[in-house]
Amino acid sequence: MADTTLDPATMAAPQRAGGGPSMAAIVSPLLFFALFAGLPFLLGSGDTFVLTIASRILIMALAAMSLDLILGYGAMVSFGHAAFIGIGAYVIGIASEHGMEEIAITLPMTLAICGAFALLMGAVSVRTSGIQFIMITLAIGQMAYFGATSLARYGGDDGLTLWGRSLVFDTRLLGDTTTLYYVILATLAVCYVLLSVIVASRFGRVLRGINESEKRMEALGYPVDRFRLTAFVIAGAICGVAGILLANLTEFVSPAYMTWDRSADLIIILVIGGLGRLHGALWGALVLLGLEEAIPWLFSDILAPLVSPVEGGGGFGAWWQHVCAVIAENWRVILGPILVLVALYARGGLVTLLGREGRA
Amino acid sequence: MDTTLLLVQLLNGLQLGVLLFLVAAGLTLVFGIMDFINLAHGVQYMVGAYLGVVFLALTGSFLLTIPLVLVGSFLIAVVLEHLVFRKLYRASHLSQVLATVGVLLFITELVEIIFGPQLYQIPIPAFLDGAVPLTDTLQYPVYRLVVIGLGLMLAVALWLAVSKTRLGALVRAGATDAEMVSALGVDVERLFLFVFAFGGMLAGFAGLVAAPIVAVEAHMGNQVLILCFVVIVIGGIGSIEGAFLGALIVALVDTLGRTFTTDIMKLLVDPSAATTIGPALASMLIYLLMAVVLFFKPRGLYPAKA
Amino acid sequence: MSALVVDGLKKRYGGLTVTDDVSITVEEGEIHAVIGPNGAGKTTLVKQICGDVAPDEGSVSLYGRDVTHYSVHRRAQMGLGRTFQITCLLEGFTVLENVATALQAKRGSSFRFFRPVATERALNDAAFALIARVGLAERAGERVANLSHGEHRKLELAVALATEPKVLLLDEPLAGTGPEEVEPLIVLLGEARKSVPILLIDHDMHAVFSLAHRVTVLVNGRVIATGSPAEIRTNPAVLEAYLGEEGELAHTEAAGA
Repeated sequence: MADTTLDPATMAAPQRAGGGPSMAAIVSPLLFFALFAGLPFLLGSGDTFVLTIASRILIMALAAMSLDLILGYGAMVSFGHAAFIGIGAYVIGIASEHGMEEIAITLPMTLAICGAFALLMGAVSVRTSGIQFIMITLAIGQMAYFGATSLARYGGDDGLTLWGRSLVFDTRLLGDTTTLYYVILATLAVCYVLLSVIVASRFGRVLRGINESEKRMEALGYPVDRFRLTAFVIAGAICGVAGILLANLTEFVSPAYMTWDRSADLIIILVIGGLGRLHGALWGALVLLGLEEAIPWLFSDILAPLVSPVEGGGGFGAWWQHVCAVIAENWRVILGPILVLVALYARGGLVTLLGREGRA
Repeated sequence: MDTTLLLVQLLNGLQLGVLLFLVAAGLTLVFGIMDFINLAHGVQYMVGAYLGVVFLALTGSFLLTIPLVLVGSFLIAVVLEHLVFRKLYRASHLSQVLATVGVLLFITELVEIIFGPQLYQIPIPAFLDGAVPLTDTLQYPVYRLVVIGLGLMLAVALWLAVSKTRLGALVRAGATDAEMVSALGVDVERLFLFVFAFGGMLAGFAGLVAAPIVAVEAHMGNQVLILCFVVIVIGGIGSIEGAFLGALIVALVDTLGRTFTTDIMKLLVDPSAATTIGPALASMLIYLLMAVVLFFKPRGLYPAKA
Repeated sequence: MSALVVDGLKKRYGGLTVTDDVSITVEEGEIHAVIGPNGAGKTTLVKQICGDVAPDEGSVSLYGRDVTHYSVHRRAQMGLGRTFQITCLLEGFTVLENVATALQAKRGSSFRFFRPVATERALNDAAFALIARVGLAERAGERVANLSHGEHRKLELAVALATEPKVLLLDEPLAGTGPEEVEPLIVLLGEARKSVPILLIDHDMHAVFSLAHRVTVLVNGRVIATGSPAEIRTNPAVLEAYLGEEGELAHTEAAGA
């Protein structure tokens, strides 16, 4: 065999594990970002309702993507990741309560505080694995949650309404919902690129190697826990950014942002979308949050009017209207089976259904 | 703090402990033997309570309701195992989480659709209504004492069954090494099904027994589920003794913590700060406890696996 | 100075003493083999040398430095390379990436977050050279999961060499390989010896006697003999232990190896 065909640099490129993206891995995020960038034009001006939902999808995608760094690439199933959304949001809320609204100051503050909290959470958890890791992260997440409920001065259980959205270099740039939407989208894109670069770097390769075989990486001389902890801190800090965005979107901060079911949502987004791919988090968030909106809408606005009740009420029409109303109200009764089906038949996540990537 | 209150809270803690044990027993065996994380296990507890409401309304007799709830819970667990869970034993933990959350959402919402959002309660059966004097000033409800007694008896029975019978030996062996059990020629599928359904039945029974004490509503299983995970992790996955010990520790720490943390805090910081920090700290206690236990004994107090 | 000194290692599990006062030295430039029947305590010995298991008594030193209380990765950083008895590779990675990941541990910091590692030419070239050396050049782009067993063993060796070890511990490098695969591996091991002293743990008498400069025989956790292959072949205690077990030694001898 001639050496030209075996050039190591070109051979590594098409391999996903080598950090080089496959076609699907390039097309899929581009499609996602193009779709969301075009959304305000499709909607026309003034439709803040859908734009707010879309903003929420992007924020959850960002949080889930940061979790993917430790869960998908580092095999650390954190059941307390939503704590960082909450902490990020609370930094904005508490700073605003004290009259500090400038993002140029609150952003580094959030990164530092979330990073420090992640360092603490990681320091006690990275030495464990499996269910113990899940439970320790759950425990610390719950403690953060209960800690937030005890902040009586900042609303306690009820949460805290912001005085306003953050200032960007002393301007009310984020006041406009469409502008905020694009800022959120741009932040997500920047974090996507940043995380993609990290995953393909030396550090990322070690992280992926640990995921493959911790024993082997130890034997190669890698201090496994230190790499894990570093990844944990990066993920926590990025997730804090999602918290900043969420606080600005809702202009409200609450302990409810960091309950364990929020953390479970992040995991579910990743499992739906596909682990260890980053863009899996994008599609997963779109599907999960999209379903949360689409199912009630489908039943109340589309299916219910299909059959109208007969004059004077009663009959199949009335029954149909009733069923649709009940399901629109209790829409999780539809979501539940969908999640089961995804778990049973779409192993590896929806992204694998979009196209076979890099596994050849 | 006075001793009467302490005694009452100890008994309340004990009563919560035995209920937690009944739910946690199935959870820990299923996890230990099949390596299966079942987030839908709390649903069995909730469904048990609702079955109690329904069967009591139909039969009018608490004593008749008990066997009906046991059979009902058992059958529901069998159906769930057949339709969903058995396909996931070999899947990753994350797939299991996704699927069991799906089942949890479906059943919770279905119950809410059928029964509506209102709270239900089962009246305390007449023959167990009343209170016994424990000290001069303290009376304690008979029903709660019976729950404690029944729970302890079941715990002993379960421990005997697991440690002394052939089936129990298989279950223990399965928790340690499932492949070895299948190598012995045991029908592992049926063993799994039985353990699963039996665990569901215990949780359903716990729901029924709890129904006269707590409000019956569709989400009642969620809080119990998280507590039970704390219990089995503290106790050690797959171990009945561990589940029992863990349940008592968690229940006592939680119950006593909620009662006394604020008072204790008042000794340390000023009262207004204590009243805001106290409740939050009380809620954190069990998680703090779990983090500490895991830090020193990562496999829990009584791990089943060698 | 000796490359590796194992001195008086003791490990008990309950009432059972699994390694009992085991002492072995590996000198620079030599292959020192440890043989012993199943249950002799070879695996536990390896674990203590690598740092997976802490000994109850005794010490492990690398080039005069006591590493008994060092973690696995620290020993590896200090130059203790190893292969695993049961193949332990990064299954989802390619052959090239496995070796490059090993090289990366010694060449520059791995706390680099921005440059794509796949474009690091120096790393990839060096990795490729090692892969070619063990005869896997044509499989460099293949995922490890798709390799044959013999290829796994070769890659294990390449990965171990890539850590640029000062002592190499080979835990049954020939385990499970077919007869046609053993020969090239033995040639490879003989070549590797020129650059690094080796502690070779194995069953395969044929390979051991043809490669090793010295042989230590482990039975029931104790060292019963240490010496040159010729001495070991004729050592009565060794013959007895092995004849009792499987008679493999006698067979090897009869074959005139």
